[in-house]
Amino acid sequence: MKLLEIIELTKKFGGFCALSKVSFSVESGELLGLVGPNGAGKTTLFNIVTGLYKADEGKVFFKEQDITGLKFHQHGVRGIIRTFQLTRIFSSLTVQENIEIGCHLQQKGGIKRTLLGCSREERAQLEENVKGILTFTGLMNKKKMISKHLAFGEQRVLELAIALGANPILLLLDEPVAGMNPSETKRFMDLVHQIRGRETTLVIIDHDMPAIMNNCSKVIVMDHGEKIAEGKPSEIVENRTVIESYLGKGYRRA
Amino acid sequence: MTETALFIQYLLSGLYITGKYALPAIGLTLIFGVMGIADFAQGALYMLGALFTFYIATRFQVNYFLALLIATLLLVLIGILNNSIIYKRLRGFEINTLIAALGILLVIENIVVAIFGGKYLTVPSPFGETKFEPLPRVIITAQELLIVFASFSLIFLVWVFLNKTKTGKALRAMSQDRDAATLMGINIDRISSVTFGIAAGLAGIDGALVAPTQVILPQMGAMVILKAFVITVVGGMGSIWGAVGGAFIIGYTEIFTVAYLSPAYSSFIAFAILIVVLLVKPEGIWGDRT
Amino acid sequence: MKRWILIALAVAFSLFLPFIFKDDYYRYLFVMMGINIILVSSLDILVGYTGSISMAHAAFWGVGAYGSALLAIHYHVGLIGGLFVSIFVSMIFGILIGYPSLRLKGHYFVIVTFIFGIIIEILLRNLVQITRGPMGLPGIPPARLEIPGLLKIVFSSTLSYYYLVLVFVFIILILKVRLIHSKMGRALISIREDEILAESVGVNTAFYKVLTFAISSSFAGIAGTLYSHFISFIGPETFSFFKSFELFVMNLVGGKATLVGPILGSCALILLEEWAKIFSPAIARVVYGIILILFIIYMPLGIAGLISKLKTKVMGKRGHEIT
Repeated sequence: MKLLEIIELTKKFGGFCALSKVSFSVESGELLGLVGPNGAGKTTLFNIVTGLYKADEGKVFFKEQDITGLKFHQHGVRGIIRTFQLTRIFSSLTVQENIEIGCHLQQKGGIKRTLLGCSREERAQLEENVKGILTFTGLMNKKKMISKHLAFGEQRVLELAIALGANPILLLLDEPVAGMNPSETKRFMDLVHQIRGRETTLVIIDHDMPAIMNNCSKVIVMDHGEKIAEGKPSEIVENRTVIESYLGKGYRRA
Repeated sequence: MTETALFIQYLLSGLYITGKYALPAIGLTLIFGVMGIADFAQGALYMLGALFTFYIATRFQVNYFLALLIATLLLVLIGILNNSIIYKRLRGFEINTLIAALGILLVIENIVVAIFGGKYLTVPSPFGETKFEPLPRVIITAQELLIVFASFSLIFLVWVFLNKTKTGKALRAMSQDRDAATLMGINIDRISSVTFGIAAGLAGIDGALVAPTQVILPQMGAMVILKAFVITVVGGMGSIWGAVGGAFIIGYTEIFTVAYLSPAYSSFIAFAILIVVLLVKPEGIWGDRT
Repeated sequence: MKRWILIALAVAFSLFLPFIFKDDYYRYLFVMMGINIILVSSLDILVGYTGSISMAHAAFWGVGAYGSALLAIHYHVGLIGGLFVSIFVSMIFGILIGYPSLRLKGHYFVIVTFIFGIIIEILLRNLVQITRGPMGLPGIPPARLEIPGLLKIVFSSTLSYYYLVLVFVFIILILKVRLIHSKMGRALISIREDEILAESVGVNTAFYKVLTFAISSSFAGIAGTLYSHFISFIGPETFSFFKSFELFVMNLVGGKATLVGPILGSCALILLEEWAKIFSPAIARVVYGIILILFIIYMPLGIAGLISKLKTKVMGKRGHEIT
């Protein structure tokens, strides 16, 4: 099923055209890589898909429903969760507290529970969920640590953990492995694969070519606000337009 | 006949009220745009402008214009000190700076109350009672005319400064994107001193100019700064044109409300305009949508 | 275990306090502290937990005070009725002001609440037909708790007001504790820490912010009812912007986002005010302003925050930031 469908998205900032009639779709269960030089419009695309920005033209469909005008937080409610280019975590809170907030949607609220507290089962359920994520991401032994004291790579993993708390159906990661060394990258991408195995669809923006090419089932290349290529990783590396956009005209594959 | 004369009178008076509000509004919007701080203390500086002028002129028997100059220089100093002593320590926590600014306003206003108490302070205008009557029954005093000329000249000077000088352009750059500007080698400390100095100077001169037209009260700063804030929010925080445009709107609204409705309602209409703007275009009439 | 002992001691202390200090003057002070604790605690729920600074809090206090005072004077409404009305009216005002304001960022929000506070003060001062304006509203009858057929208590002595206020202090403190440990409490903190990140995981920030504003303003309304019956004569100057500012200072000095902070802040600053009455109100305000500036630069976490830091240093606990 087409989980996410983007139709002719256009976004202008003043005179500058950040996105120009971009269309593609994401199938359920895919691991899609979104690449392109800086300024290509990848993050802008994410921002529009998740409702942070309003598109000037075009539509976004999720599970075949039009979600184009929805507010930012409503995307989370529908299962569309995103991470950010610059690491965003609740830095003054502990790792555990961070993930608890991530699990916001999974908890039941209401006046009675606020005033009298949750039932034992509900509290246990939350603990289970949080524990599960801590174990899965390998942060269990750091759960009481204030998150700003985590190493950079661990903070990135925490970001992923928070997103997982929200039980995403579609997970959008914006440059998740930027700044990581190869072993951190490998560990992270392993997690990504396991997440995919749990029936979450993923879209990843990144510049780390080996990570993208070795892991994604489909790749989309953008440049100057336009989609310039779409296909399997093996097809993309041969694509002339792509090579030119990254290296400039005049280079040829050696 | 009298109706028209009255109306033209209001149009004329509205000019000097606009000028009076425009200066502190420009100061506020400049500080907010460049430093990201909502500096309520500017109200205290305005009041001190009037107070210092009074004190220097009466106590030391000095010419009004000289007193104005000295007062303004003192205020520029105080404005810069506010920044270097207090605001600088709160860099990065701009909301706290707003609270600190309120604190400074409170402290200065009440020190003045404590010292001068209920005393009736006035400064005579250097022009005495000179009035002009450009049209029958339409009067403007020499002092009010001075306010008009001085404030609009200052607005022009600020425009020239921001657009034609290197420092001015640096200020505008910082107002667009603080991080980028710092990366380009713009010295934050110097820029902040310049910004606060200019704003304080504007507030001080304004206070000094207005001093001969009313009784000098410690609370005069708070009322003016409130209006100035409404002006900057309506006009657009960070936009000089917004400050000027907003001043016109609020200034004329004030005079026409006082004239045709009642003085009690003048603040209300200004607030009503504010609420409407916030609901319709929160970034202000001349503001940029971020 | 240790925590329960401390709490029990604190409760016992508060119950016996007016008998340790029997003088009516002290009891009066305690009632005022209690009322301010309710005000600051409710402000703290908004400021400390969502990070939205409101300068309109005293205005809600005033709305509640005038509301129930007028009802009591003209319609002989009792305590329960008065509380219902003041909660309802303050909540409505809270939502009316909160809803548009909360869409605004940082500074704008503060400035707009500040302006709304002033508007309400101007209204109280100028609607002379209803509120008697600057002349104030005298002759507010003592609070009357009446359940027909069951009981009738008239609160006339300072001592009786002390316990009445104490009940509500307990209520708000308990509410705060429950709130902090609930899903909503976590949501509020996430809004304070990083609103966009919170929204990205589905937290409906607009809803929570308005809700918090409503809760905080309704408690201010309750404090207004208690105050107007206690003091029996109210005037618009009490509910000015300066009072809103003062409440913020109490919150800051005591410690934001803590349970004891508002208690410490209220008591400390009320005592300071009494002491400063020896001088002039102007000097008192100068002292306030200086304290505020010093705290905001050097001790932004307030006294409670300082105690917390010392505890961590001494006992080496890894900070559990949420309480």
